[in-house]
Amino acid sequence: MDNSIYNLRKMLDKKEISTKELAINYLDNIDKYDEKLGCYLDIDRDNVLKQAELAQVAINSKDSKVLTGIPIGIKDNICTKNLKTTCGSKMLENFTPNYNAHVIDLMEKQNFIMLGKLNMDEFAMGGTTQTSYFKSTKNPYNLECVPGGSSGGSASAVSANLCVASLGSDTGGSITQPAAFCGVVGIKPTYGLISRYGIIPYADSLDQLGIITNNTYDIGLLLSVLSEYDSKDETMSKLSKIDFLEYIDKPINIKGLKIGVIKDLLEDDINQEVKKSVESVLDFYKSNGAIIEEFSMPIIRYCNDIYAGYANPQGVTNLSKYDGTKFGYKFKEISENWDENVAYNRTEAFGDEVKKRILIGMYVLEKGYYNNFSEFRNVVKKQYNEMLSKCDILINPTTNCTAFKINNNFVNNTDNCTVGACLAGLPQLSIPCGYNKDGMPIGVCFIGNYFQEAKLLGIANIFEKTMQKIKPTIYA
Amino acid sequence: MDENLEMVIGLEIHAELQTEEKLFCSCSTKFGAKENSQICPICLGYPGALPKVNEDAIDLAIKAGSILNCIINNYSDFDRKSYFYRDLPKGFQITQMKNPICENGYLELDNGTVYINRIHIEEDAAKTIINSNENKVDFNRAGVPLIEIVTEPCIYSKELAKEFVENLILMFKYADICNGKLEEGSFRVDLNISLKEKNSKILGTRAEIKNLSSIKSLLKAIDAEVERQSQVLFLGESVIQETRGFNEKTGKTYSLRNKENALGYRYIKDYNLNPIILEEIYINKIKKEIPIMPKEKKNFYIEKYNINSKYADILINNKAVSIFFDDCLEKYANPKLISNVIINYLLKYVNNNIEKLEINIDDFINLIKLVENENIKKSDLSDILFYMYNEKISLDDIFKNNNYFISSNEDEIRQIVLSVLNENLNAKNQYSSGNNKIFGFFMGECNKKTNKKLNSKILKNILEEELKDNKGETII
Repeated sequence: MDNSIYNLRKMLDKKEISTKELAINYLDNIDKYDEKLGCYLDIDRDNVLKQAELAQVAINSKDSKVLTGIPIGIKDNICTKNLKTTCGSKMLENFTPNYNAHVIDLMEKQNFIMLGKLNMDEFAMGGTTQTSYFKSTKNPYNLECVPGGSSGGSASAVSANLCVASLGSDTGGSITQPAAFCGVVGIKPTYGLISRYGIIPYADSLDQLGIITNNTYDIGLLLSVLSEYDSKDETMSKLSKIDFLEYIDKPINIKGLKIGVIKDLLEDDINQEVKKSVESVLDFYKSNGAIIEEFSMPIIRYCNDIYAGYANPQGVTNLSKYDGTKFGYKFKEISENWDENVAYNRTEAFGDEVKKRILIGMYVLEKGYYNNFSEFRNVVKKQYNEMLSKCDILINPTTNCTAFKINNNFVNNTDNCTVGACLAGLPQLSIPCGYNKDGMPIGVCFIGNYFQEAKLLGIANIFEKTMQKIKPTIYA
Repeated sequence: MDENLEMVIGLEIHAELQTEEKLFCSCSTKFGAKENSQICPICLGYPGALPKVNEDAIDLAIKAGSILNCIINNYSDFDRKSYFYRDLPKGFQITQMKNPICENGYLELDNGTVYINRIHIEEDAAKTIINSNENKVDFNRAGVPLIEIVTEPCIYSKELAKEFVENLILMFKYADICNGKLEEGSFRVDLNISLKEKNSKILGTRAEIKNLSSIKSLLKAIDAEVERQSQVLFLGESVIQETRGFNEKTGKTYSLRNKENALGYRYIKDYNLNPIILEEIYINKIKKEIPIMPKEKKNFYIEKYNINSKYADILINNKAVSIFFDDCLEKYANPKLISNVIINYLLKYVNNNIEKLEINIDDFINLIKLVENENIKKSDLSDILFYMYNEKISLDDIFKNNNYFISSNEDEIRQIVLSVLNENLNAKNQYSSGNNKIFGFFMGECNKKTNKKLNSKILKNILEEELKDNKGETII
């Protein structure tokens, strides 16, 4: 069975399979593989079957929509009414929201099937999905390797077919990096394209909902559902309806297309196999008539630091509400003094990575450096905007290496290729472009101008069609 | 206080804006509702919930700025002010630090001019209810819109401080910006006060006195703090910059916390809220909605209605009263008598805090007309108005049950006079012999004779007539 929304939609509507059969099929997959992979934090099986029934009713009355009966997994920082939403943290261990994120409402309107909540780095802080309080998520291509993060549960689950698509979130590469590590397709759309209401924030000016699927077409399908306007989010852009599949349905002409490459990213600290693989993608487009334009962007080397100084101060304020008295955490009173109680409970309930980032953020704020980082961010944004005024899209490796071993403390810079475009608020799409000699997936990243997701999908789709995919070793 | 010293006062005033809904969600702002009944994920700061600004609050802030002759900024935006406290749901307060909505204003008063540094919009915190054994938090107040008005340190007398606060409350009531209820906490005054050498431009170190719940407390706190600071200086010590409270019972201020020990507020822009962009056309539209202010109204009463300054002050000092006065004049144009009756008879029953003067205006006008035509004695007005205002009895019923109505029927009065004279022949003879003093006796007897009120002018005339006639008879 080809695991794509596109195909499942056809099968469901033609009644080649029932929603219940499909749901059970995925629940079986989860039962079989998730113990090893650690993708899911919470699965409400009864509810899955109930949703499947409702979806079948809609299909039977010929009222099916894009996502009717489609099994989807949700990153655990996206609020789901009556289903625990933990952000991978002890602090929210027993937090069950009484509201849905806007995106969940949109999908529920179409009777999708929510398989469950997916593991993540605690409060989306990390790039390995090993900082979760609950469990470690593994890479389906090598169980000793990380799936990337922070949306590692979302990427690993799609890769291992524990859901057909998943929602995640991205602040500095949390969608594209795990998508690359797990050999799946991931998009971080333009900031403001999709409502953030109900997505537990890390850095409000960068956060964006992201999508992970098996192919670019499914991304287009999901974008068309999820980009519906939400008046609850002031920062959402008011746009006229976009046809995200425009350039897949009517393939874009590559001839004369200007593709920009930030050569710093291919020159610096980069794995040679990754470099070769990405260069072969560039060659593919070149041989089809595209013009490759090289750019130099020295500041890209500092983007990780700029990100740390810019995102973490926002993160500090967003984490301030977790004083231990609310959201299901059991507050322990150790002192008469309020501040001491708060300090004690935060020390108990936050993990090391979160604490580290709180300290960085606090330091920047207390020292008054935040405005400097904000200015650096503007410089990065400006440089990306300049490059994109001179070319149609940018292509670069999604990551400078493939998924690394869990507990490898030497790798801590895997967002260096993606974080710049995140700072610029640009849409960013990662698709698989090859495998290294150990069979680990390599990702290539397409970056376009604001709200040009359709164009990105169209261009990437042309290469995607030529790509021979290898199934994860977990299925071998 | 040392003769060479003078006090300098700056005020920080928090005024709750009279909007139906909270600043960033649609919860009600109504005062006095059941604890924690006006709450939602947004004002409780639940994870993922996003604020959305209430435009009514912006309009009221524009009005406040306009009344205080401020520059209304075309651009302003929101920041987060971080600190941990149980009544602060998000661990930060959304306020305007960097770019406030209004700046650089002034208010000219009898005792001097008060200069306004800024007015900014912010959300209120929840209310901690301290019981003997536990602390409870009522979140109904969390997220209620406030404006903070910050004056320059430019107030050099208690009189000016008092006049400023009183005027501000009154003007805000007139413009429906804030109901000005200090006792309910909808209008809160913080006092910044320092001592400096006369003739010197250098300000001394200030102390901030928080939570003054009445103008009386404000004045007492000024005295107490001047006393304390001059003591400190007299002893050769220096005043510490700190936040202090005021104890109503002891009449003294006490230290709450030192600024030196406290962490900063770590201000950072709130990216979830769009900047407030105000065009001049819009600002002018809102300014036009501001009704006539008390000072102008007073002048109008004096010039147009020829009401004396003291009376005009009384009328304008209560918005409800002045509206009632205006309404009366629309129905019957006798400003002198109406103002007289309101001020000297009605107001003794009227609580100063009322929002509307609840009295049947048609009955009131009828009453005025009866007084004007001398159908009713002014000395009975207090009683009649007591029934009308306090007991809500209609004028008809009041007259049915009581005898306030003056009889002017000459025949009826003559009958009474004649029977009194017949019954008091002795007295009549005394009068005839020249004892004019006895006239009052006849008046009294006539009034006693009936339970009706007799028009004294007519009674007097008839009595004089009849006594004169009788004089002739006795001669015969």
